Amino acid sequence: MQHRRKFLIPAIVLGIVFILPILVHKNGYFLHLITIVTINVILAVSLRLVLLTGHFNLGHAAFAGIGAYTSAILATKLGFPFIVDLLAAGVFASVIACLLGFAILRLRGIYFALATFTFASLTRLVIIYWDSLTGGPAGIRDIPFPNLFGFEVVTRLGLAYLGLFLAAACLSIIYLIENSRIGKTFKAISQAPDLGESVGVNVTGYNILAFAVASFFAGIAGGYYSHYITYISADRFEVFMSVFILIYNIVGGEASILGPIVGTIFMTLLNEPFRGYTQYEMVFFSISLMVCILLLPDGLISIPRRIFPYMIRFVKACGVH
Amino acid sequence: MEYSTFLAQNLLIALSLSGIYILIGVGVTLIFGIMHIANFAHGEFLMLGAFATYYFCVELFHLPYGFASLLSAFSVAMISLIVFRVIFQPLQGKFRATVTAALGLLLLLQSAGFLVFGIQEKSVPSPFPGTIRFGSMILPKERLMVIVAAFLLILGLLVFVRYTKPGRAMRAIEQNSSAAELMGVDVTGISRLGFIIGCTLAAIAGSLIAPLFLVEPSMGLIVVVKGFTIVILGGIGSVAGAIVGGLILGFMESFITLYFDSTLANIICWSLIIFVIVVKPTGLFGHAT
Repeated sequence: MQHRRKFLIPAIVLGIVFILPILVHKNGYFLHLITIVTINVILAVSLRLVLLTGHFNLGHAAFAGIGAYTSAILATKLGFPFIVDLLAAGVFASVIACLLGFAILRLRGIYFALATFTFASLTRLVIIYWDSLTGGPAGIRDIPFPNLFGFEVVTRLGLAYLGLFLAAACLSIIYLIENSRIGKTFKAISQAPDLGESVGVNVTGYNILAFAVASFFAGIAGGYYSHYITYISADRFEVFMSVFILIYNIVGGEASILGPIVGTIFMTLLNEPFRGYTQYEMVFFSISLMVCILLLPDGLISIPRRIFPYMIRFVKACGVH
Repeated sequence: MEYSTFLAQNLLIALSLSGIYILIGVGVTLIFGIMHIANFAHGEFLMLGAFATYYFCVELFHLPYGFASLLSAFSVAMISLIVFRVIFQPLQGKFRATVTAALGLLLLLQSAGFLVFGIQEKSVPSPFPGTIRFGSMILPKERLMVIVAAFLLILGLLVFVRYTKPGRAMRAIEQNSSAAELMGVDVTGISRLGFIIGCTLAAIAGSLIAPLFLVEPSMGLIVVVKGFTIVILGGIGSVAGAIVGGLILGFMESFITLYFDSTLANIICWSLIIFVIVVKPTGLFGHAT
């Protein structure tokens, strides 16, 4: 009974999420929104793995960019099938992350943040500069839509569902990693790296593992993005995108994997009333970010815990009369 | 033109660029050294300073340039005081929250800048038009103004940090904040002062470049990136490091741009930063914390 109840709420939520595209299937814009939110959720949740090890990564979008370009180049220049593209995007992003990780993962705090920030800027510049491969500032056009076992997914509904399935797969793997022994080690080395080292934990190895796995999923998200939008340029992976992914994590809360999911959905939907008024959109976004940080230091997911005592008091007060 | 003249002229232009960079870098390093705030919004204070100068000079009162820059420095100091009280003081000591808040402030000031000032690029008329002939060199007067002003401000800051009581308190906090507090240093007050000084220096840098470059709301982002580059080169928290870092960056960027192109200059700068962070994270003058 206990066991069944534990899975009841996630099952209901998952059910609603998977019915949602059908409910809005007439509105192409909502389907687009769902797909974009899904991709952002994969990015935000994958960044969580790096945050768990205590590293403040300000350049996560670079790996999404590397993944997007890898899959776009493989698809347009070499004609690789979609699944291979997507995996190659993830693998290539994590290879780059490993190489970078060896160099910078012993840094902490502000040094790591600035190193990743710099790496993201450098990646963007290299993409612009290397135009024989990446198309330079013009980007890559006419990337084919995802092709699954001979079926080309071209409708927005199909693309939204493909994105949701991809996100479900990625999120489940990340959830399993986080709750495994490896995930617990990540948390441990974030709190006491020196202690971990002294009891024989390979701190650098685990740091690189977290960084590489996070970048793998970022690469996959980027790869799917390029096949979904069918056109990419370096501007899509600018520095602000990394900042947004980070903001989703902080606003949502860092205590559980729900944090980045809630944060991404909340911050994206918050902007919807301002659609078309781009200048107001960003002002509102940043003000709400500030308010969240100042008033909810533990993120949006701490709201239920915060208001629960008041609710109990309210219920008791009602019961007395 | 002789090659040596050409070179000397470019050296001077590089020096004026370095002056601006040092003003920014010193502010970033001061704020980080004292409060451990990575002020990603630092460039936005430069943007505000430049726009305030533009408004006082051109749109509102037609004030003379010098007076307008003073007034703009004062206004930005007030804004930075508010920012410190509302955002950074409540979050003191929380690394992730302050970095995210600073990034949020960057987004807020930049987007509010677009909203209030518009996307049209503005320009401030030069207070010192014309050039000076110096031997065979032809030097624009406004560049010389930047060099002189930056030099005086940096000298003033060095004297302040070295010889005055608040300056000494700043160095004490930078070395050991809790020991300084035990010795009776008002850590919050001195932090507030450091934050205001850093932001005001950025605002003055904004006033200085307003006649040289176009003023636009997104100018702050590139500036803060340069600021952090300088600080990493010189060592986070070190004023001397920021000065040397600013000189290195200013000269490197000017000359690579002169002989190759600006994208390559940026790529080389970024690679250099990653190299410095990896090989010697404390930079040229920093010490381990």
